[in-house]
Amino acid sequence: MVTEIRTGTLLEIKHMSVDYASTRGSVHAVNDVNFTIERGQIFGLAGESGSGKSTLAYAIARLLQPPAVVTQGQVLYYPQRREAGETSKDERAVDVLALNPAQLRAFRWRELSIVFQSAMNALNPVLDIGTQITDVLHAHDPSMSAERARARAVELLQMVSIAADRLRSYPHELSGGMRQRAMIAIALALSPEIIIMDEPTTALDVVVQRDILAQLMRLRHAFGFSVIFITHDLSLLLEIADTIAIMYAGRMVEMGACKDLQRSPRHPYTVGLLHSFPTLHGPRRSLTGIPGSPPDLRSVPAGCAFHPRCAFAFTACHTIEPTLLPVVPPAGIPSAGQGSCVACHLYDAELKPEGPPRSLESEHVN
Amino acid sequence: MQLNKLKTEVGVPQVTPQLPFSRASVATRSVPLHHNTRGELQRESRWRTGGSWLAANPKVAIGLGIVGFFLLVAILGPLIIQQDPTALSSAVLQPPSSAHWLGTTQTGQDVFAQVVVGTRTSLLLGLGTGLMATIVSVIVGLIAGYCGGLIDDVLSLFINIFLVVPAIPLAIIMAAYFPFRGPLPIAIIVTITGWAWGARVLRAQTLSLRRREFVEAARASGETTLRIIFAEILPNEIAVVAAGLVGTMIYAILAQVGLEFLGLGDVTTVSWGTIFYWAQNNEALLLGAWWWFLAPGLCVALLGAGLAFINFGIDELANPRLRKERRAKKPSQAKKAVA
Amino acid sequence: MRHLLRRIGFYLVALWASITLNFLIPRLVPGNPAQVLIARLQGRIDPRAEHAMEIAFGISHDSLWRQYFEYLGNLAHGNLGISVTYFPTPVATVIGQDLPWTLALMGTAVVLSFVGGTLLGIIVAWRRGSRLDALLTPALTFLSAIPYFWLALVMLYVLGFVLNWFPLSGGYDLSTEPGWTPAFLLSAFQHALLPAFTIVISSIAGWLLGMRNAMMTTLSEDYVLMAQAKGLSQRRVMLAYAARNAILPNITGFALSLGFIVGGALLTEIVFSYPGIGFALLQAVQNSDYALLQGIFLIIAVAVLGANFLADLIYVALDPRVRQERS
Repeated sequence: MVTEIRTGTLLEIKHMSVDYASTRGSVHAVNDVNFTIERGQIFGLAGESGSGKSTLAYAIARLLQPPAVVTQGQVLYYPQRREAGETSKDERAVDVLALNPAQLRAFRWRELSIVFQSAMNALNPVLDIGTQITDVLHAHDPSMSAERARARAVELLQMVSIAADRLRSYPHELSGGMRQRAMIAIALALSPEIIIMDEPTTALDVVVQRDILAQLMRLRHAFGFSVIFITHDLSLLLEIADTIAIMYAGRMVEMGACKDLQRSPRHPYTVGLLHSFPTLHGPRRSLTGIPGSPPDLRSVPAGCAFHPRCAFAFTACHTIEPTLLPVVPPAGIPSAGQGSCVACHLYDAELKPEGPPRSLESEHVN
Repeated sequence: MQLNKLKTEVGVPQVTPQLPFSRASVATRSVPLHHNTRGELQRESRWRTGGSWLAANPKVAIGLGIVGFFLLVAILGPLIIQQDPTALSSAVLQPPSSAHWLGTTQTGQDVFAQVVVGTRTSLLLGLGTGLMATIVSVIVGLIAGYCGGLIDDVLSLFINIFLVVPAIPLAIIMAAYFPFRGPLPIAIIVTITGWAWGARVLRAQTLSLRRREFVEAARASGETTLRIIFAEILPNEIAVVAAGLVGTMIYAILAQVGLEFLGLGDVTTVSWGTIFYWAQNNEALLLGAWWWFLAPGLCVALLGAGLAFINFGIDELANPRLRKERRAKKPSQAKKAVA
Repeated sequence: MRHLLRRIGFYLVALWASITLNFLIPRLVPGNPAQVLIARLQGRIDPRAEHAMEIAFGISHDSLWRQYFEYLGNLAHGNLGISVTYFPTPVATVIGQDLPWTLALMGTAVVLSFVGGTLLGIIVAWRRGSRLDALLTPALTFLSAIPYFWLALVMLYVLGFVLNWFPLSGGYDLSTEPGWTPAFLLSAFQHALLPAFTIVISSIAGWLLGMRNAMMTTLSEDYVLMAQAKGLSQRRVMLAYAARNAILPNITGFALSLGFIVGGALLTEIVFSYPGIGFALLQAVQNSDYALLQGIFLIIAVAVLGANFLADLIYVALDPRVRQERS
């Protein structure tokens, strides 16, 4: 059964900023991030540790714990009426950050659910898997009978290829891959519109990883939910994501369609990332990493945060902070780079009229 | 102890030291120690951090103040009090007055003098015994945790037996049988009954540290077992040991006073517990002589509370999750990010 | 199942160790005060009883092993010797009379204290940083450092002596006949209130603070975050996710600190002259009644071991992870 994947905006993040308050001043973990997620889209969020990607995702879900604090921003969610066949978008957007506790509880899991990184830590060790599925069913629909809840739980487990007799198993009795799949099953319990996946396969070996990702794609195809996929592994995103956003030091430095990013990475950081792992085919290249390490968020370099590590930095980079600007398609190929943006002075016509250096442009990865 | 040499990283399992008797919980699950704690302490000057940290943790400051006060009394008290606290007088069972600040006993002894002079004995015995018991628990706990195998099995059995057999009744029966009464038997008995709890906590801690890379590295570079245990692992557990030391001291003081109350200490010496003994024996309560037993008890309680507050501080230092959230000034349009 | 068997095995070993300690202690110290006692009693008791007492006290001319087995044999028959204080009543009888009082008092007090402390601890942890937490925590820390018997003295003095709200001593009004009559029960209840209250106040702080700390650690775990993300009710998150996990170390702590609490409760009984084991203990110490002393210690040790075992069972029931034995 393949459901038509509905198009239209699902989630709009505007000017999101998150600070970690400490006695010695605030650390800007997320700095003025803007992006949009469409229905049925897999949105990849890539970056190193400390880039702010997890903080961003948790902020969207309103799961930040003190001392993290959202200092500005809106998370506009466009709920769609669920009547079959109806595709008209309900124009009333809801700011998730402004929901009151009761509305938030209703919103949670029904519209947006999360798959945490470590299933061992995210599953309650003293409750069995079945209970952890049914309690969310009962919380959102108290009138649901026990049999129906149980049946739904079995259905969910089967969706992720876990046998029904595992309903009574405890988390420590399952293997790592099974636990993660159980997490996905729980995430799907209320058929949400969007699922945030925080490094869901990082702790697993590659074979299991592939398994789970394949399962995820199948489920996505069947149910049409969107995914925010957070990972540090860009190569993974290149395989599954529709849109990829790269984060560095709390800022979004590049965003674009997957194919476009792969073919023509623009930001020097993205280029560096793509060159950090080999491709299976194509000419042999020597692997170059990115010299240096991500900045301490308490003392971010002035101007562009990446400039100390950038081979192409020039005077403007040391003083002016770049903003995420839409990419200007090169002359002759108007469709190239459609919808992509990059925060780099090399592409700023005013600061660098001659455009990015040849060497950067020629770094096309096929 | 050089803080720089500490190899704790994010994810080091640490047991939050809890007293079974005053806070009644031995956390058997481990809790990560945050990297920043030690880093922070290194980066700034120790004095400045110490001062501002104390200001932010009034409980610890109070605790240190109380313990410091009693130490002062213990050291200077007998020098200041000129009269002999055991001197009899005719002023029998007098309530507190200007002549006798805490009143007098059944035999005309000055209670205030007794309390002050007794502080030295009680404190010395309590703190000293606590230290002894902690040393034993460190040795047993670390060796059991590190060596594993048969040694661990045997030592664990010992630890568990001494934990499960009730301490104070055992202390009473041992004290009753001791051929003579005095501070030494009490010290020995309290040590024997008080070491097991600390040993168990340290064993659990050592078990989790044993698998860390720096231990592997030390082993590979040929360090002797003893050196690994006491020079590599022990410094990483200092917080746990410190909390255990304070907790054991509290137990030692309470146990000692309890034993003396029953008359199992040397009733001719002057200490807080023996004051209790004489008060109870002479029916102080029924005679309405509340001043006789109020002061020593208050001292014990205050000292115990002071030590417990210090323990709080050690706990919060080692386990950031227990810290009170210090909210920095939020910008005016900040929205709460949590439901 | 294997885990349970291991625990049973351990408790049997601990029991054996307690019995043996009881046997060895008189023999470990040089000189034997019990010798004087026996000399005093000579001629007044049955030679077999005297022989049994000699063994219990460590005076005997038989080999150590012989004495040990005779001692074990005596124990199996419930022969704990003859009490000097209540001469010629056997120790077992004395303990049999006093034990129910202690069990009733301490049993209820400890259970109340644990349950109350745990519940309050959950509430305080949930409202972390609030005024309640800031006030309660230091107050309770102070309370938990107060020696039991001193608190008992103060309570007794203020509430009994001065205000005359409670009886001053004893387990019941001596004018009433012991028995299951309402008058007696009421009088017993009245007399038990103040000691029970003292024990509860002294020990509740420990549970409360322990539960609070365990809860605060648990509340920062990922599964609590996930429970909140699921949109579950506050109550369910607090109870089924946080408290259910946080209580585990508390149960272990309960078992461990029981020994200490029993000690404190005994001292409380002494202050209130409550006719329980504590009072008998004091008598035994003051009269050098070694038989009674050893008998009481044994009973206490057995009771505490039993309570520990019970706590173990409860732990296994609550934590599915220990049911699987991992080598």
